[in-house]
Amino acid sequence: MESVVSRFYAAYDGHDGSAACALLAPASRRAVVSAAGKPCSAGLLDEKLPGTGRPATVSAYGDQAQARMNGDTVFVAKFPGGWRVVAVGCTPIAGKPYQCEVEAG
Amino acid sequence: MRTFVKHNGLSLFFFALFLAALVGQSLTGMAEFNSQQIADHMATLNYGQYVTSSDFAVDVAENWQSEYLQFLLYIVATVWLLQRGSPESKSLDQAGLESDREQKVGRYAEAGSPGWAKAAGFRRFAFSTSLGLVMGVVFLGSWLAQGVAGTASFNQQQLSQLENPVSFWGYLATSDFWNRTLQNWQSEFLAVGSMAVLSIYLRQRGSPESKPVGAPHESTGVEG
Repeated sequence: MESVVSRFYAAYDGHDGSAACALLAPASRRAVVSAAGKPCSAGLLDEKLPGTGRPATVSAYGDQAQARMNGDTVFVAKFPGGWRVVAVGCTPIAGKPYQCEVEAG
Repeated sequence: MRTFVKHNGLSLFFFALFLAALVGQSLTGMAEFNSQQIADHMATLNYGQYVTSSDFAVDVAENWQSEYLQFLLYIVATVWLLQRGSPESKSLDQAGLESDREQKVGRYAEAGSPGWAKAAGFRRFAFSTSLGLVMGVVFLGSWLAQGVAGTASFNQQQLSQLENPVSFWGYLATSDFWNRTLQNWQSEFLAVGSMAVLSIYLRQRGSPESKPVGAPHESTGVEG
């Protein structure tokens, strides 16, 4: 799943919204469209995602995983088509779930 | 073959029931798990993947540990604790480890006694406590397995809710671990306690777990 996170950020940093959106989980993709009011490929590039580099640590349990990288924590999950990014641009909130720039609605 | 089955019917019956129930649990558990996965638009698991998953392992282990704890406590507690009128209890004057003569160990061992009952020192001690020791080891092993599998299962849930995973020791401090543990323990303790009391007044003709039907309610340590 590290490669999914790396490929997602490579696409995002390269302003390839379509490729980045293809690596998002379906519900997260729908949330981007709903929040931005425009196609995912354009709406996603409007988000300010803080991650840089490759995932430094990955915690995986079953079909869920968390990748920590410089500036960001990314949540990924395994879908019928493979690993997909569920939430990105995530900030820890004490005692609560992470608050993420992109996550399923 | 028929003689073997007749002479081992009790263990064969329960082992067959165990396997049937375990297979049933795995099939129904997989159906429930995959139903939730489909609702969440997540990947489903095949049978091999499910029976090796942490979700299945924790569900199995939490029941195993409580069953073996139940028998461990019953085996050890009935050495010292008595229950007047219960066939599950020893006679009211027999509390404790009993004498070597009563236990047929050392020089009181009989011709057919196991070798370690005739021996002295560690071997006699180990054999004298072997039933409780094995039950205790299986209990602790199952409880450890519940903790390990429970950590993975709990963390899967944590990550799906965009929360940090916890360590093994962190999981042992969660309400999830103790709720799984205590909900099993309470039912086992209730079942054993009620068996000890109900068998004072109720009978099951022909069962060694019951007093003979005509035995007085006050008679203690008498099995049918």
